[in-house]
Amino acid sequence: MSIILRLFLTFAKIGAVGFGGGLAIVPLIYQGMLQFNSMDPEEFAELFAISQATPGPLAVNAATFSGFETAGVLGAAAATLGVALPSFILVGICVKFLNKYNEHSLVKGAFTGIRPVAVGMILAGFVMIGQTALFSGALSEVQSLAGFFENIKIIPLAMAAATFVLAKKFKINAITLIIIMGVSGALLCSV
Amino acid sequence: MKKLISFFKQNIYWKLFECFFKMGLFTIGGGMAMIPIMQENVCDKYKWMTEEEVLDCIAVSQSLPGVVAINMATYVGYHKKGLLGAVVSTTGVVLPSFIIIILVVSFLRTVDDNIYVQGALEGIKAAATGLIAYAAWKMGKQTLKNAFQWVLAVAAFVVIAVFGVSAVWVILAGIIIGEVYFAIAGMRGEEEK
Repeated sequence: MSIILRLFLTFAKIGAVGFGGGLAIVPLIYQGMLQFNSMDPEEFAELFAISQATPGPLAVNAATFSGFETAGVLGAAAATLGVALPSFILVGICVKFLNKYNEHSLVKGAFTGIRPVAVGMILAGFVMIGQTALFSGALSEVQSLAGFFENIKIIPLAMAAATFVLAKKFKINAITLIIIMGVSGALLCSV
Repeated sequence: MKKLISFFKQNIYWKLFECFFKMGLFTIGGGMAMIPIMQENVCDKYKWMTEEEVLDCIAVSQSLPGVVAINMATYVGYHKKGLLGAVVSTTGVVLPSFIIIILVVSFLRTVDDNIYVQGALEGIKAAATGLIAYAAWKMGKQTLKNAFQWVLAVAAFVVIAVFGVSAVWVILAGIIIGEVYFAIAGMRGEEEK
């Protein structure tokens, strides 16, 4: 079997069984890549660092990276398409079903529960992202309130607060704010 | 030329592509970090979906296997314009990754030892934190209308953020609680009639 097809199938499998986003999918990619012998653990550590520090979804970056290392641009395309394909099919079926039965009481009932949960989930996402953005070290290892405050990174905290205010009060759009804070970070956090 | 520009400005497929390309380009980490830009474009700017529908999209994308960002792009694309819409949105969201990773791997090999790059990443993560807080506040304000919804939202938050329970289980629990609540509310409505 050609290597391109093997890459495609390996990543399609990862896309079909990987629950829970980037951090959960990267270990699956590691396992799946062993058969290709194209990356050693050190390169994989590099992959993880680069995938996290570049734009785009972590898992897509990692898939593109692995495919490219194994079989060039075509390999990258095969891995990325592969990881996207199961989503495509499953989400497609789901949306079709939901659009067809959106007046059904079971679907309505499900969504009365799902929507508030989704709001809570976004707020949990805030804690998750904030943990790495505003604290040095892991929050779970903090023992006391004093330790909590010691670990706060002041400048990023001020930037996060400024972002919130600028978005809420001045209706500045998200992309502009990301660019502003990226530039400010390069100037303020690099010293 | 003018015709060409107005074609791109009017064309729904182009708008879907542009919207998701921007989401791929301006978010680091993906998934949750994309929600603010998605909400801004899909609800506020283009009005493709209501706040409630975006919440449905987020919940479904989290509970299905696969990359959350791809699930969200596919969901919005399908919802708006069927299969072709889904193809266009998904291509948009993965294309920045594809181009950037290939360039970085080919030329740089490393991105994270430069102090200015490190600083910029700190700033971008701080912005993402502020933006997602704002998204949560805004979506909460617009969709949580009664005590049941508030309690469920707070409970979901605590269970995920404090106890680290997987979002898939929390959503399943939400579905069951929702069904029960909806059935009871429906029965009460019948009695009042």
